[in-house]
Amino acid sequence: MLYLELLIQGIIYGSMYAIIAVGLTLVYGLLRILHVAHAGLFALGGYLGLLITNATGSLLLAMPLAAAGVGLVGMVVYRLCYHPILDRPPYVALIASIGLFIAMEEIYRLVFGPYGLTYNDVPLQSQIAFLGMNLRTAELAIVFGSVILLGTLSYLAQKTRIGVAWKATVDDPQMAASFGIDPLKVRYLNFFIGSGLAAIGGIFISLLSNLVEPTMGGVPSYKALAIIVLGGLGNVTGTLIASLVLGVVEAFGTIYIGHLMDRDAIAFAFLILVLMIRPQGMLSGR
Amino acid sequence: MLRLDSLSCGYGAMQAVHGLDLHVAKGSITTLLGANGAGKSSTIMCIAGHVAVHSGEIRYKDRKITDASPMQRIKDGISVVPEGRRLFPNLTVKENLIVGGYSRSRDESNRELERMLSIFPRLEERLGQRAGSLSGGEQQMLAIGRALMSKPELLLVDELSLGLMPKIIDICYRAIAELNKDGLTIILVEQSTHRALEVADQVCVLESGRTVWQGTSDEAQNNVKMIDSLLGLREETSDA
Repeated sequence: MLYLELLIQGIIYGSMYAIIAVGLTLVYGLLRILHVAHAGLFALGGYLGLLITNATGSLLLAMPLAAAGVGLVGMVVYRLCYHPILDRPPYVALIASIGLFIAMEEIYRLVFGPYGLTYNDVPLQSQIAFLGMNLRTAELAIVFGSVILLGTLSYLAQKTRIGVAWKATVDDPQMAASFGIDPLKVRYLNFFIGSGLAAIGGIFISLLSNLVEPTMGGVPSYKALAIIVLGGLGNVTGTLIASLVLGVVEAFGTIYIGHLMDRDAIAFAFLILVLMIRPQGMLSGR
Repeated sequence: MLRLDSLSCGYGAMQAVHGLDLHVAKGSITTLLGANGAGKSSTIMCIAGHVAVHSGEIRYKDRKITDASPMQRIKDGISVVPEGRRLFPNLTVKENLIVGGYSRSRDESNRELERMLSIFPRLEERLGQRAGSLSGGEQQMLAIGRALMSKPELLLVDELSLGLMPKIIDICYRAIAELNKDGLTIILVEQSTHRALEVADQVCVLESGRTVWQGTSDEAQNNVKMIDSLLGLREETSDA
């Protein structure tokens, strides 16, 4: 029973990591940029979700609005921060991204205050019996929400013309353009979807902790960066598997070696260990 | 249909083609011949919009397209089968064909897909397979099929026979001849000179980015001086 509980806890956190990391890997797959500022968009999603929920009392309304709003901000980030420097070496975009992330944290501090915000009435906190365990509704919502969102993303990529166009642009942008696919539109779409997912991730984490604060993007996003390396850079399937593996390792680790290090330390120790053994990632795809 | 007037193009400061003049008539097959580095592929990719024009002009259907984007050119009816095929290796055969027809409506694209599979029935058996896992011959068929999905009026084909078995080359050349019979204008870049001369109406020989000879295919077959300038043609024709 303990193992099942730990497994489910691992899947809950793994689902949340997956939502954040898939957005990052989408950007890396298309532009080969390590989009550190994704963490800032994740935090913005948390803020917007919380503020809309507090204002309207509806989390169901807050999630799509926050995702769409952060998606649009993601498009602006691409246009202003990355687009002008695409022809420069990748470290230029990385430095710009780190700078943007720091700036975003400071803006949140100035606008929303340094101590963080909490929900007036935290949604989805009722207990539900699931496989003999008591789980918070929010925890189940995170797992099912992630499955639905990532399933929808997979459907878009596999079954629609725009999804095929996106994959073609990832493979060979020049040839994709020569068949009439506008690479700029694909990049905007990519940032919209990736940033929208980050926003949902930010809302998910705020439901578990009832706290949204300026630096909340830091740790989850560093983990997400490590996850996309672990999954094989640009490999979406690898990213999903690595997210779940990391969540489960964290859950088991907190029980068995929790007296030696905390949850985040366990996660990073595991990531370092795996990358020492397989620096190309667990699923070294493309 | 297509006019290149004093066209010079290249990559950054490096000029690959110097002052090329070429007139391509509607419904014809024009072949560009020459050794490696002669500027054939650069010319093709310049017409497709992927290599920068340094000077000169490209006119297509009496309209200047020198500065048009590759996206605009495919909408205007110019499609390319690039050197090395450059398929999307992680996409399936069907997805590659869908990308080929992206500039058309979904209905048009579906109709073209049916037509393409009738031209290359072998692709129908491989529709769900990743393009990167196809044999060289199947990849070439897919590259041609993908280019045709946009219903082009001008097809640019770079190195049709490179690295293919003779049987597959026959299939590809048969397809080219049939497409031309249906009215498609084709510019063909080849190193296998005698195969190109069999189907071509017009021949342009390039050397170091400059035109050294232009004429009809019959004139090319009979022009000893030009034949001498083409690497290996004498041996190929005598073997044939």
